Amino acid sequence: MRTPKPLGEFELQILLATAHLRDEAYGASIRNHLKQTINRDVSIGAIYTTLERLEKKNLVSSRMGEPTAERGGRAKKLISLSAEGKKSLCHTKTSLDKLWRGIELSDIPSIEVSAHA
Amino acid sequence: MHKPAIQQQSPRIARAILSFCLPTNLREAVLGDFEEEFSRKHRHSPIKAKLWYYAHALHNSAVFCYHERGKPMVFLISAVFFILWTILIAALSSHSLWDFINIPSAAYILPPALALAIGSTSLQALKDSAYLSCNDTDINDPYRIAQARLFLQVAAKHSLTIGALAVLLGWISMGLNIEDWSQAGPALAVSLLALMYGIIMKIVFDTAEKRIEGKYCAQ
Repeated sequence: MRTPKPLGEFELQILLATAHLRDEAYGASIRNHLKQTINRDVSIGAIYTTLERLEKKNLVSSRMGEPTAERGGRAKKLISLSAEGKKSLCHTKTSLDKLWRGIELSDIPSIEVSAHA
Repeated sequence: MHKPAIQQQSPRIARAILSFCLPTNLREAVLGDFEEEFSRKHRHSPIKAKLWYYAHALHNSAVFCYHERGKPMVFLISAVFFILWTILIAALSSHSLWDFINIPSAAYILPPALALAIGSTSLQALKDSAYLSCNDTDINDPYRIAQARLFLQVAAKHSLTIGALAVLLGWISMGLNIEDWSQAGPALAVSLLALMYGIIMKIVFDTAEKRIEGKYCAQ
């Protein structure tokens, strides 16, 4: 079986936000979710640029929703995780869990200590 | 009585700039997201909402403009730079810049070159060639791309040919008035100016054609 390509940090965050928001995942909602959850303020453009990249990698798929008055009569671009995307998320989580195994944050030398060493 | 909520309009200029810079496939979704965020912020503070819209719209416009229109911009800037550079050199090598500007000579080259290129291809090819040279949005039909390239090739070739023809006409005019040498200088100058305009147009058309070739045919 082919190993999924590793995800970048921002790609991973967007995929996780998409997974969390389920049917209501689109540019503005992903942005708000990142802001509220991890206090990361990103531009709407950055989200769409990354979503396009993820779509090219077949990790997400998109469809246009219905236009609403709140959006000035414009439709949402709804995002959903693809099977490939779910597989990639699982693989990334497993890899990160393995890497974190046996590490205590208190064991990690601080910057000051490593600078002296 | 309950009043219906009035939809607040986002700043028109910022929206127009953003709309211009966005790629076609993202325009509706991104503008909608901006509108949604704007109306959410507008409920708390209209001024802050407007400031947010301007700041984010201009920032995103700059990013998308660079990604989406960067290459066409480079083409247009290089074409304008080339023409301005030629004008500067002409101005430095002469007493007056007006010596190098002759509207009839330019009018003798460009319209016939375009007309012959349209005759060889179609009016649609003229539109497609302008569109493909100045935009980065894809046209997927290989026939239309080939026609646009052919249009530019014919226009480039005929600009030069008509320029050469103008030189011949100038020499014939001189030959017919050989007894009056005072007329020879201006006639020669005008005919050589037409050739110069022909060469400039050939360079611009050739560059546009190579740009389309590089984008669609190098893959």
